[in-house]
Amino acid sequence: MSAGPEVLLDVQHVSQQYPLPKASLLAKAGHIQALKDVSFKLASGKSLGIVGESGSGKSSLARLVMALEKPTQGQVLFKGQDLNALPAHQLRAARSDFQMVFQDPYGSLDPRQIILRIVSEPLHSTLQSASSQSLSQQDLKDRAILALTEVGLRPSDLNKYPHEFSGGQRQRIAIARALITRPSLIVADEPVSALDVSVQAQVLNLLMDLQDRFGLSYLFVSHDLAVVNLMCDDVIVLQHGQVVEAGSAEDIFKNAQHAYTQALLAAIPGYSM
Amino acid sequence: MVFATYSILACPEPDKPILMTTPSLASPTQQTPLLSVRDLRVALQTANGLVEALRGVSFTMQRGETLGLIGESGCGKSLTALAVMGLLPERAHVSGSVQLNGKELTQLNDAALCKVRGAQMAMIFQEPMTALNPLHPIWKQIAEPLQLHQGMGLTAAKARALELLERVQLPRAKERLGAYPHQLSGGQRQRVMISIALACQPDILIADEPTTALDVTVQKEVLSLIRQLVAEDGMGLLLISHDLGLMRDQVSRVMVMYGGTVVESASTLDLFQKRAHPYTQGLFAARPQLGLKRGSRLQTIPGKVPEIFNWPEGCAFADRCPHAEASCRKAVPTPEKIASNLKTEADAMRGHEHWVSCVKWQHLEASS
Repeated sequence: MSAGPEVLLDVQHVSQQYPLPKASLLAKAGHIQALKDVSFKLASGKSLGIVGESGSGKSSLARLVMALEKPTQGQVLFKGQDLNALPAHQLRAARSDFQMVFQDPYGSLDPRQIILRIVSEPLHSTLQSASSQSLSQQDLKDRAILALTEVGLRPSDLNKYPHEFSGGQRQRIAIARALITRPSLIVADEPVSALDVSVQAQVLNLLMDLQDRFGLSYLFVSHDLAVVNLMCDDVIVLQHGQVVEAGSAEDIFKNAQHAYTQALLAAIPGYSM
Repeated sequence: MVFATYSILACPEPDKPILMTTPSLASPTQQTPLLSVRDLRVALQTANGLVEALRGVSFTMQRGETLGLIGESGCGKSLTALAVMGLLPERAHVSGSVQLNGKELTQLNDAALCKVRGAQMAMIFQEPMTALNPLHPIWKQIAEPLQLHQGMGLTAAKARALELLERVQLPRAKERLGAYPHQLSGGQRQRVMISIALACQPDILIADEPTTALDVTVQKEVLSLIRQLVAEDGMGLLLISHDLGLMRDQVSRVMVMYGGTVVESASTLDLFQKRAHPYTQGLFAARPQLGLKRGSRLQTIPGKVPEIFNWPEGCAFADRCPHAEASCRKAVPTPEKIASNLKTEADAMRGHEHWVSCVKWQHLEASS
């Protein structure tokens, strides 16, 4: 929120509506307001946490930032560029600079493809289609090996299938897939909530190490406030699609102002300790 | 079938044991425990042949007691619950003993077990969407155990279903009797699951990660509902979770499982003051907590839970343990008693002693 470091992501007054099915043939279709006038900035190398209950608009916001959907109102500026104004092929090329890690490491990896193919796919789809230059098979493989070693997996894992890995290893594969294009921003939607405590700690440490090493920015969606507190510099709290509280993670968790944030904090099991 | 239900409310208090106490179980002065599990072993059929996945689990639960099971996936928490419920895969080999109110369950055939399941013990599963039948309205699913175990007619069962839904505080319960699971939210579905479990007033309720799929705020509501109902009915609660904070709020005693066996057990208060087993210490240290400095690294437990066909010799945790030495790998450690901070007789009577299965715990305590 200061003018210090470079602003990587600038979300300006975005609103998002989704149509509801018509109640009857002649009735006017209603809509649901998933997001209402949400604004925030994310500086490069920093992390922003988005917290709120399910249905509060966290994942809608993540999808908007990933340019998977266009906002009904407002703009998403990534490195000063309005992603939704880009023509399709340019957007595709731009995607190499922002990648996503999903919640469920079992659902987000294609069970029929080997790890080499899964991890190198973003290179195929973003780089090759954009610039007519094509990467050789060997280049792809080298980049995939590099990405795998960065997340603590072995080159010999390249020819295995997802079912041969544990949940924590799968999430590492998903992170390697996001890293391979050398993005500046990673949008992580509940990346550790499907993992056991000890594996969760390993993956969180890895994400923090990678941030230090590559200067990554994270947009970190989570319902676990303790995780957000550990990972994020700034936090926005969403309720019914609106930002009810925003500020530095330290301020918010030490001194929550809004009743909803206080309720979220109080709901953490064992919070009283 | 009609009198299969055994209501705890109608139960005469202490000195009237329902069945003969087996002498080897508890101290003779105690009443028959609600649930007594002795050296429970379960072997599963895998690609590598018959493999022991539960390797000697023993514990007892008294009426009205709340007991938590924690550990990573693959440590045998859910398997313990399924073995108690008699819901193991058909080809599983079970040995040891599971006694409910003094009645041995492992030897029962399916038909006899069906009379106990749902009537005297009930289970709440993790995924309320997959545990409910999508093709039946919710009232029918609540009525099913009532018809089955209490021989209730359809009309009476429907009326009782409404009472139960009101008891679990499902909003607008009357209108929702005919609702299908997909019309309800996750928290509402879990309330329906709870009302099914409670329908026949079981003596023991087993909840396997009942709130993992739910939001924190909904989780809080569902858990306090379970706690309230358990206290009202005097049921025993066996709660499975990997969330340590949740254990602290919900149960009076915790058992930590690793490698298909219990490695540490203590009253919740004791455990949160002092962890004796390196695995428990690792679990506590790995947990992100509010108040940690931004960017501080979490302590991790190196490696991962071994596959069940690949347990190390001796202590199962030895390969991941920072304090392991040769003696750890020689023999499976036996449980040792630790001086508890809670020295009241009542706690000791209820089995709230602190036990740990680690040959080095005294060394570790001395050096810390």
